[in-house]
Amino acid sequence: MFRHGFTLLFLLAAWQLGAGFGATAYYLSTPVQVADRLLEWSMSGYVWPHLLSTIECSLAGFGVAAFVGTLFALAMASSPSFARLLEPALFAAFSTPKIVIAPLLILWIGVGTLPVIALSALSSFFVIFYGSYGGLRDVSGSYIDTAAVLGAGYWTTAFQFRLPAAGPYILASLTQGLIYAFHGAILGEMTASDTGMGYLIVYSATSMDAASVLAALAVIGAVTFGLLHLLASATRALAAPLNAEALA
Amino acid sequence: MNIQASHSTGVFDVEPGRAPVLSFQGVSKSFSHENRSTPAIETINLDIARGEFVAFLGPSGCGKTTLLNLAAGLIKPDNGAVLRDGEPLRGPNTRVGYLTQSDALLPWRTVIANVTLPLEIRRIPRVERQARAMAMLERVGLGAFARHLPGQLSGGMRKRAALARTLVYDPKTLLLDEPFSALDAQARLAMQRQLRELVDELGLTVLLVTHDLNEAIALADRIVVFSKRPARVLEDIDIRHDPSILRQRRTSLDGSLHDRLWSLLENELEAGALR
Ligand SMILES: Nc1ncnc2c1ncn2[C@@H]1O[C@H](COP(=O)(O)OP(=O)(O)OP(=O)(O)O)[C@@H](O)[C@H]1O
Ligand SMILES: [Mg+2]
Repeated sequence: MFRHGFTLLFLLAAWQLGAGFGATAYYLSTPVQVADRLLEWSMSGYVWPHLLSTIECSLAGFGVAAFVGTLFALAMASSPSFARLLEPALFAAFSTPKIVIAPLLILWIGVGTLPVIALSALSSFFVIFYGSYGGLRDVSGSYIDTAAVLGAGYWTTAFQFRLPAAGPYILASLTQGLIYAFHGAILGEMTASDTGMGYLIVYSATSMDAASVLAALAVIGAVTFGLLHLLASATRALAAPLNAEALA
Repeated sequence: MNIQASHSTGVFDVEPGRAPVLSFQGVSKSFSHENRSTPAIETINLDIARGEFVAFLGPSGCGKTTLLNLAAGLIKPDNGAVLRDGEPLRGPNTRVGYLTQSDALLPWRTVIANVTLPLEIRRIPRVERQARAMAMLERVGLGAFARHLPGQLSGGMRKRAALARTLVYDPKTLLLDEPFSALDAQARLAMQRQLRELVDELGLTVLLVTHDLNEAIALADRIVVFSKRPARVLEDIDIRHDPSILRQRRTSLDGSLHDRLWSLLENELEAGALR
């Protein structure tokens, strides 16, 4: 942690000094200017509604993606024929860059928070789906056999055996999915909204305000960083009993 | 020494009108690996009558677990048929309790939640399933560990917890794959005695896979010895109706039967694979 802080400090110093030469300050701004802007934003309260809107849309998008993604993954892992049916379509959708869907979304559902939530959900859906699908599909056969001999039906096998057995994989994919939901929301805001951190970036950039763009990026980076740490500790806590198992 | 040896039928004659609990009829099974097919078992014919306690003995990797998986309906035979109560088995056999070689406890459930699981599946009311699970855990000596997670138990305790889960829903037939191999000698003797009592009390049918000759002799009514892979029946020995063996069993170990089984297996084995 200490070493990371030191590296960061060094980079910031280099940036501050480097930006002093020539006209680069215009493009790069300086750390002092960016810090100034951050301070100003938080004092005036200007940034909070934007940040709140981004977080709300991300959570809504994440919620939808987590529910639909794990459910699809579970259904496909439980039934190979269902998987064969859906795999090609999902793969085609997966290989399409999500940002190109943004104009379509505006066409279908207009501007505002709805297309932002949709893009956020779409971005995180595939990460969650593919991450949990692998884990759910490869659940040890001994669990599935146990379910069969104990007389468990299709749903009991899926929800009482397969789902918890793939728990660690699902948690990991949800962690990634939350980050993607957050970034997906920002992408959505850049094209289809007039609030949020994504909007703030586009607005600042079109006003030639490099310091604001970088300040917004710093906020986004800090939130992502915070999310990652929060999720890492949550995952550790949830996976603790399973790790105890692995050691036994 | 007059040990009756016979192949599959005729020893425990099935009561008229009553089909064997389990019947392997010309069953064979191969596994393919990298496009090569290796036979695991080859034309097995075996009838297991109601109330019989049968031990399966055979070298490691010969196909004993495969036979239990067939009986549990987890895999299908390539040829022949597995009959349950005279009917061909289709799909998982939910009338048996199967204690697999790896205990397959669910690590995210506490011990008692593992034991109540089969009762949940059978939609037995909550109060009753708690009571039955607790009684069974007491019986296998794990009453104090009901709220522990499987990961917090020793290997032997896990086996006992899995045994409790296998017995709790009163299956009339038990498939036990080396159930006592993780126990120390003392605990093993205690568990063997308990199992035998339970089996007699409830009139259970048991297929017990073991590597332990003494265990087979001490517990079983009938011992089936398999060849090395692909498994064939080498000997099918009825020891229940043999008074000399019963007498010797009472005076602890049966030396001559032990020696005979040992030499049978020795031919099939690389040295050291048998305890
Ligand atoms: N699912 C499978 N896929 C491929 N090969 C298998 C499979 N299950 C078993 N085999 C093979 O079949 C043979 C018999 O295996 P099985 O587990 O029945 O032996 P076993 O008699 O129970 O051995 P052990 O006493 O060591 O438990 C082995 O050679 C094994 O490699
Ligand atoms: Mg085995």
